[in-house]
Amino acid sequence: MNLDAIPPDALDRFRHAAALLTQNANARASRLLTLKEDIATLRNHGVSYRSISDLLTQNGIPTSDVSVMKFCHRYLNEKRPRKSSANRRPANHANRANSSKTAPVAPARVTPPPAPATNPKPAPTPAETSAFTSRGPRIAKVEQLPPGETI
Amino acid sequence: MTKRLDLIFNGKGGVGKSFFAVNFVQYLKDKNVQFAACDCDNENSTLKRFHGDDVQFLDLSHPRGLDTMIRALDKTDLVVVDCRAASTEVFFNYFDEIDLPLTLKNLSTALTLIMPINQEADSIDQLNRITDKLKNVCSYVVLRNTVHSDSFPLFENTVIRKRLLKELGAKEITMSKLQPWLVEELSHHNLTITAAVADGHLHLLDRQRLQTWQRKFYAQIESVADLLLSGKP
Repeated sequence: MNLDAIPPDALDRFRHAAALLTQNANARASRLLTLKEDIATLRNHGVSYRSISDLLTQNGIPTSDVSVMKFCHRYLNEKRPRKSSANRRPANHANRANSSKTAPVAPARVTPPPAPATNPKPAPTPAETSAFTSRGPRIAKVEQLPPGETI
Repeated sequence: MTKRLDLIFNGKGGVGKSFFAVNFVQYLKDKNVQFAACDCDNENSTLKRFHGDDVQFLDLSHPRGLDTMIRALDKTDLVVVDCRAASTEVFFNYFDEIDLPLTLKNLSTALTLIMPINQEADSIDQLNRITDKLKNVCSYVVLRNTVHSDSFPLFENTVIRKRLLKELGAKEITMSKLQPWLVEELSHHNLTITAAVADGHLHLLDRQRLQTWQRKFYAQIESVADLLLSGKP
């Protein structure tokens, strides 16, 4: 790497800008910290990150939904949405078999995720982790009385 | 004297919650019944559109938004709430939070759920969800909305219908179809049926159609008045 390629004044400018960025980020985080209880209450009621950011912005605290999400992950211990197993790249048996110098790995050891019956595409990763949105689809099931039985 | 909280409730959209609410509130006005009405649909506030300042808006995104409907019982014996579609979870969480049975007892209030259904399985499935949660905490009125068809073959012989009628003391009423051009006319001018009939700009025949529909609707309401209105327990 040629360090001479970075002029000293450019390095100074970068470090100054980086310091400002860090300072601003800390200021934003501490600003939301004062609202921690309010945000936690809203989240407990299933209010989305975007609705919270809209509410804050409308009331003079400009905040993005991503900032609210990151705040909730960091300070409210909300779990980050996991990449669904359907989205993970399955093990490539062919490659493994070719690269192995021993016996090929039996395919049965790798269990691919079951495909949903009605939707062949993998379900999108939920953007939020609240109970309101994480329960998945509800498919109507109307149970009929046994034949011969009437009301 | 028992107070009454009427929730027009079904998580499925387009089943006729707001249409029923608009006409039920008009019934209360026409019969000089004291009431408070609330609309919690922030996207289509139909009840508020037709009845204006007689209806309070409930903000479901606010943690204390639903308090308004409970607090309204301090001032009146009957509160009617038009619940937004897809708000079942919000209401259930709120019921847990305030310990609904105890709150109702402390307020000497009876709760009735008016649950409109149509021919779709989703609207019927919601009855399972609602009754599984609330069981006999409240009374139930199933409203058959015949806007698409007069018959409900999917609902007639269901386990949930038997449970509602035999175990939970539910009653059923029917809301007949109003001719589409009349629905359009009322909606276009934000007129209730009573107002449209009094307004006089519709042709006599259409005014007659409206009055006929309203008479049937009011008769259905009165057939379950013991579950919808306040009064002696």
